[in-house]
Amino acid sequence: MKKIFQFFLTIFLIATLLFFMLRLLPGGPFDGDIALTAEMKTHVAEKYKLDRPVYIQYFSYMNSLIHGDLGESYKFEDRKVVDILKETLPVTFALGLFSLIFSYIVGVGLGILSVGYRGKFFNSAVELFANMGSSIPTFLAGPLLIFLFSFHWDLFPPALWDGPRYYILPVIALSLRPMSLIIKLVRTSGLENISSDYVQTARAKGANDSAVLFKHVLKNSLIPLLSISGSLFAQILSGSFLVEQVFAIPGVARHFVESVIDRDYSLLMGLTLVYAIILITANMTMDKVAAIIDPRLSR
Amino acid sequence: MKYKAALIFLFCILLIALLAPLIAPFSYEVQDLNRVLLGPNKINWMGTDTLGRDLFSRIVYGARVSLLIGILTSLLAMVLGIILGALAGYFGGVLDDILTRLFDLIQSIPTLVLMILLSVFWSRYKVSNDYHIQGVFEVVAALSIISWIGIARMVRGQIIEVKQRDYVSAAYAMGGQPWRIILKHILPNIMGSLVVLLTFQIPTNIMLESFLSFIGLGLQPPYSSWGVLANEGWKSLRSDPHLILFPGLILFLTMMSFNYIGDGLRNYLDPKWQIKNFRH
Repeated sequence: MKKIFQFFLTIFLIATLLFFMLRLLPGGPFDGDIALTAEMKTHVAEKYKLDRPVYIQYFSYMNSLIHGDLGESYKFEDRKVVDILKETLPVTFALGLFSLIFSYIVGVGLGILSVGYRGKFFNSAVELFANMGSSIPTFLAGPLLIFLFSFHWDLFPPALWDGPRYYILPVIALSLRPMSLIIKLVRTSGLENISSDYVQTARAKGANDSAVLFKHVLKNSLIPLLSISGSLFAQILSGSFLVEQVFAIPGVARHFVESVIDRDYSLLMGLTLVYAIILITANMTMDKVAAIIDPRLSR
Repeated sequence: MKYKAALIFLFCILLIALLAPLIAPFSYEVQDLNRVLLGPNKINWMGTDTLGRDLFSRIVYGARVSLLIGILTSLLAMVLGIILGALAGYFGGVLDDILTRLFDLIQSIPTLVLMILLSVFWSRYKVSNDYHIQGVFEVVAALSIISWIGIARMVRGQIIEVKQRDYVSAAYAMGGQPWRIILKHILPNIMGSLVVLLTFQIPTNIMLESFLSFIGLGLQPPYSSWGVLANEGWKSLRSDPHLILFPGLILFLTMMSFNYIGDGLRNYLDPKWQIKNFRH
């Protein structure tokens, strides 16, 4: 109950903060339209209630927000922000979710294996991969992937989002950084665990290498992994901006950038709020899951 | 070995940035429309872009801007973060509550989204008629605000931990003033972590700047930073891949060097440090 209250309080604070911050931005939504006469501009401002005092705008926005109405976009005439979100959000969400799953599977796998092969070539190779992956900018990784797998070998399409074949390159590009961080974390905590007492005990009782790795070390490496999941999620949300740009994916990012340039207040508010809600929900879920797995964490 | 390579590489990049006018064979904005979109050749070592500007020179000048922004914002964030983190950690109370709440609030907005909003927000303040300075100001102001909170939080945590040690109690018992205790006794003890944090903050901020410029909301051409170059380059990936590959590669190697040095420093100063302080 307390958590739910906190959730709504945070959303409310963010909405308030954003609302006033956006009104402070230089320029207005219709400044760019040279075609509009002064008279038309007053008319438009009246239509979207932009001529009222800011605090009245604030109350009316908050009022409709409580009723789940995010208002109308200024730029896309007569289109509700909710409709734009309905169209674009599933794409961004799918991209993020696939990348998250992919980076967890590959990251945890490579991390645990490199603990198993510690001191061997495989381990150094994984380490190098993780170091490269956490340093490579998306606008280098994306074009490199397109260049190799699309232009050179013609295996996957270079852009757009029309089916599973289109998903592969963007998901890899978006996964590289989170995956590398997962590898590093699993490696570090795995190496710590492998020399601990309980592993020695398990070995003494006759457990072989793979049992030790996949049953004991893996389990104990998952808890630190859960605690950083929130920032991994944030990273993927940020990263999807660039990946959507590089691969021309029709997701939220493009609208976000455009709404900033156009000062499309209601669309920008709506998009940011949705991002915040996703992130907060993810963080709270992860905390909950971590507390279930390790009761010590719930204090 | 790899640390040495990383150090040498960073030193070279720093040197290139400092001596840009001496090293770059051309200016970053001079166009030569007879020599557009050339691949790497003898005169233009990394080729030319759509307006015939020399890519190598643009990367050299870009190093200036990218490094300046990365280092300046990290230092600013560091100063702000230490002061406010120390206040919150040492005195606790209302400031501590506000800082913690603020951090939670900011952490619930994706970094890039926040950064975009902030950089547009700062453009309402005209600090200079020179668009170079104005552009850098907007990005620096936005980045510093994003970064200081993480540092403040870390300093706060460390101070709360160190505060309970005997030598701090002793200093307090002997009548030491709070600021003296923080500066003389606590700060030296968390210096190691701060240096590590700084080595990770600089590349993070360089990267953020380049992301912002890449999606077209940061610095604007003809100004050159690595992100601006990437923004100009990726559109002609199929025909002229050198335009995206060279700036991307330089940024990549710089990131990697910073990360290696950060890892090395961390292992040296605190072998048990876990990867828990990263963000972005």
